Amino acid sequence: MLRRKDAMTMKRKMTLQLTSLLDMFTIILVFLMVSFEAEDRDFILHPGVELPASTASSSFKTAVNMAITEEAVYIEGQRVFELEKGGDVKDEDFDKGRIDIVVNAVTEAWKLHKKEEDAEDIVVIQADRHLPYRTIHLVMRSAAQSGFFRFRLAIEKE
Amino acid sequence: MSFSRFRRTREEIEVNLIPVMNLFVTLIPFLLLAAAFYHVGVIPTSLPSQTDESSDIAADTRAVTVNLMIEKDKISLSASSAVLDEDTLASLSLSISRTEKGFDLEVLGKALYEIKRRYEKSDTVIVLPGDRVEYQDVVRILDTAREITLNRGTEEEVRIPLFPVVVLSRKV
Repeated sequence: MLRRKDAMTMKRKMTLQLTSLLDMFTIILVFLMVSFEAEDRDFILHPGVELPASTASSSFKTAVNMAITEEAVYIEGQRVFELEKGGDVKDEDFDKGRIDIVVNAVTEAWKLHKKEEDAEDIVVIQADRHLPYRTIHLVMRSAAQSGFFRFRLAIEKE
Repeated sequence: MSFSRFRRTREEIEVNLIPVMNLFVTLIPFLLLAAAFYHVGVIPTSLPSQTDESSDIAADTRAVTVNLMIEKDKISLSASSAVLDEDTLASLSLSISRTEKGFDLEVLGKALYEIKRRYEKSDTVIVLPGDRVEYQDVVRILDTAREITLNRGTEEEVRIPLFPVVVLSRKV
């Protein structure tokens, strides 16, 4: 009788208690399902860019990608133009009204993009929130020289 | 005899959680890979255009084009129209100075909402930031100009579009 009771106790001790683990998994699953957003899948945030916070809700679509950090301008991931300290531009570049190397790089990027089925002549700009506005304006004017007048300013949704 | 029947009943109601666990173990890595922890959006903008066919300046008595001149310490709001008289447009002007807490964007939002109510066909804002204005400040002001949230924090909270067409230029 005693031996049978001991065997039963041993058997109970070996059973895994999964309920709390399942509770934890359920919470993680719900959190991840809420965070799931298929529309952002093509967006690659450029390293070194801290996007401005915004309440805008327009969704992201692929286009010619431009990133402006406090150090340089990147087009389709390629570093094309060096900026001054604090992300500023030289006065002579600003007075000129365009950055030639950016104009050429955007034109080349568009040649590749326009082959895509849903290509739009729009530039997506990932610009660092701390940049002075004149840097962004000069880069936009340079893109305009390549025939781009419409832009999408990437933001971090609040 | 009756004791053994009781034990059998107790064993039958135990749920086998192993398949559920297997499902979770498969789903969680998939969702972790696909999850967007960084929610990204965009603000559609354009550079100013002035062609024979189109202009950014409103040409309708029910619409005005709003101009926001942003400086480091001041925002100047004005309106332009190809058909309304100067006195009417001047009555819509406003200036907001920067305080220690920054710009009072609530005042700006209310002024823009009032313009939108009076000229319901309006949809364009021309933003003219100064050279040294920080990009984050420009984006905050764009948010205020693009839409307003009424009754914030209540059940009747509603977001109303104000001037969703944004034209970015520069203060000369």
